[in-house]
Amino acid sequence: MNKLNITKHINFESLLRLKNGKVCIEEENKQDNDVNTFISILSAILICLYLSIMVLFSPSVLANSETSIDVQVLAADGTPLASMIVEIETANSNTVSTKEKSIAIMDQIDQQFFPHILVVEKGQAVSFPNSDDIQHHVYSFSPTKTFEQQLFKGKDAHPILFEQSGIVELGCNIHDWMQGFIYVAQGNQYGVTNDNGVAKITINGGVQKVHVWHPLMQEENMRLSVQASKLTLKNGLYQVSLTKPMIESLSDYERLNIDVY
Amino acid sequence: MSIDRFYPIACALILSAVSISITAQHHAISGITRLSLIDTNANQSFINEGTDILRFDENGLVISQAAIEVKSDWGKGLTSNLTAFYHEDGDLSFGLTEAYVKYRPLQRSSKKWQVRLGSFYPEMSFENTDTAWLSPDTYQFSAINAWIAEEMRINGLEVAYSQNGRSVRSKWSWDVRAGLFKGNDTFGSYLTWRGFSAHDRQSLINETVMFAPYPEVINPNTIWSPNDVQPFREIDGRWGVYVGTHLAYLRRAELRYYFYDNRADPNKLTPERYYAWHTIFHSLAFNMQLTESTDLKMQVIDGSTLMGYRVVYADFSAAYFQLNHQFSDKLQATARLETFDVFENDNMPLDNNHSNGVGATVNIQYQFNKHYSLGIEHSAIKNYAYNRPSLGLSPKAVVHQWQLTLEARF
Repeated sequence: MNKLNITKHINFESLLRLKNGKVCIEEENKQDNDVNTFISILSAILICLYLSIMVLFSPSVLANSETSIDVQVLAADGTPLASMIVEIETANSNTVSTKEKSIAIMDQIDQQFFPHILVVEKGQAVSFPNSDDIQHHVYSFSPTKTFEQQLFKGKDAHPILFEQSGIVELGCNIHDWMQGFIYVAQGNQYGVTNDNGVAKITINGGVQKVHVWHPLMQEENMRLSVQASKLTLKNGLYQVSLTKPMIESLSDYERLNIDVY
Repeated sequence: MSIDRFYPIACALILSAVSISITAQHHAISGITRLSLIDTNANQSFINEGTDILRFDENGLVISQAAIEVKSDWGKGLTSNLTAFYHEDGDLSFGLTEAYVKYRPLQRSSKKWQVRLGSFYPEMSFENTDTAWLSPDTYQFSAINAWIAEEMRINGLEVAYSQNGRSVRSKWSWDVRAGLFKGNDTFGSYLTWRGFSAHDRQSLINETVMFAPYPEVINPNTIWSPNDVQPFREIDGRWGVYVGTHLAYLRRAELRYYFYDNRADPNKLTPERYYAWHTIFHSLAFNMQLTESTDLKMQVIDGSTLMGYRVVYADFSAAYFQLNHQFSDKLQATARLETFDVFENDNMPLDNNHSNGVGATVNIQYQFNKHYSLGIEHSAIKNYAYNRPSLGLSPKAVVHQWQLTLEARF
């Protein structure tokens, strides 16, 4: 009760001073400015803190920062390359998507894997249906995922989960010519180049690295990986050039068009 | 626990174990039946102890094929194959044509090996690639594979070592294989005494196949042998061998070469007077996908067979050339030309076993769905067999056969 009275008293005195002299008013204003500055800085800090927390923990804010980029893959001689797998690495590449992943399909049609190359995300499952009238025996010895699965005529097999990112080469123990690939991407920041060699990819955050892969590449490592600083930006396209020529396509082992993904 | 109570538990345990092992396996059963309306000018088929080289000698409806094939997967790369046939004609009505196990484990290397053990056909030809070793292109086999179907079976072991080019980024794939077998000692006798034939009948394991009672063959004063053959009979105890190699360019073309030698002792014979025939031959087969819908198949064989102290010695050769065209997913047509020759050069000119012929076969099939198809086939074969006069027949025969066939498969 006393405190309230004193406050009222001070306010009243201040009003009196305002009326009684200029100097008193300036001194009072100076004190008010200090307080306002302090409050502004504090507010700014709190807002920044709030935004940081939102950015770190809110998916909706994450979604708002998505952008789309175009990456063009060129052969060593400058020719655009179609059907190349392009994966973008950003600061958020390791963010685990909360979306439920669909089961991808790698079918067996006319004694071949279809599609020839399948791209999935880490943690995604792949089902291997058998559309042929004969048995298949799918296997992989790739370190990314080692497995085998019998695909009997007219009998469903359980989907296989791909927990690690990397490249998986598939074979069939009954039909030696059958060959297929599963590219397991780190996240969902990937695309496949079109006839102009361009892949449009939605990314979250700044580009750190671009990875390019195709089974016919002859780069020293299985993938060609380029740092963002070494990318060429031309007409709004990030361009990546292979350092070695692709080997000749062996698609004649197939009777279906394997370039249809 | 009393013994009476132990039995049901033991039985239950055994049944459970059997059930578990059965559920761990997978069996794929497929069957094929061909109902054929035959129109032929043949007088008496070799199957009915005549000299005509066709299987059917009466017009009418016949079950030309009735086969069931059981492919089982026992896990760990072990599979088995049992093929059984029902025949309306010949010695046995029901029996097996192939029974073998194959072991091909998963292998990390691009070079892979496999083993087959049992009774089976070697993979010499591109002709008989359908269920139960039938041909997907024609009903009647070529002369070469009609002979293989009736006289050859590998009763033994085959080891294959192969590399598919795709796994090493090459357009070329290769396969080398070798087999060791017994029980094919009379191989060549049918070919020599009757000559090449043209039919679709596969001999059943342990079956006896008939041919005409040529006097110089059955006469005790000449060769004195039964007028039948037990093709899978072991007579001398020797192992036979064969080697083969496959070379393929992508999946467009493939060449297969085989050399077969049954290493039979031609001087050994059984109490029933079945001789062992020392038969060797080379086989070269070629398959090429000319266009997306046109396929070429051909095969050439060349060899010789010897029985006794050159009592019978004959060189033989045969070849066929076949084109298949798929007009649509449902309609296909096949045309085949062939020639065959057995040339005798032995110490018994009385037993004249020269024979030769040329033939043409045209087949058109319409596939209603995956279970039913209807086809019509015509074969015309002009052939000579110079032992026919010993039975009062002309050495020359020109046989025609039409067959309208409804095929059902599952």
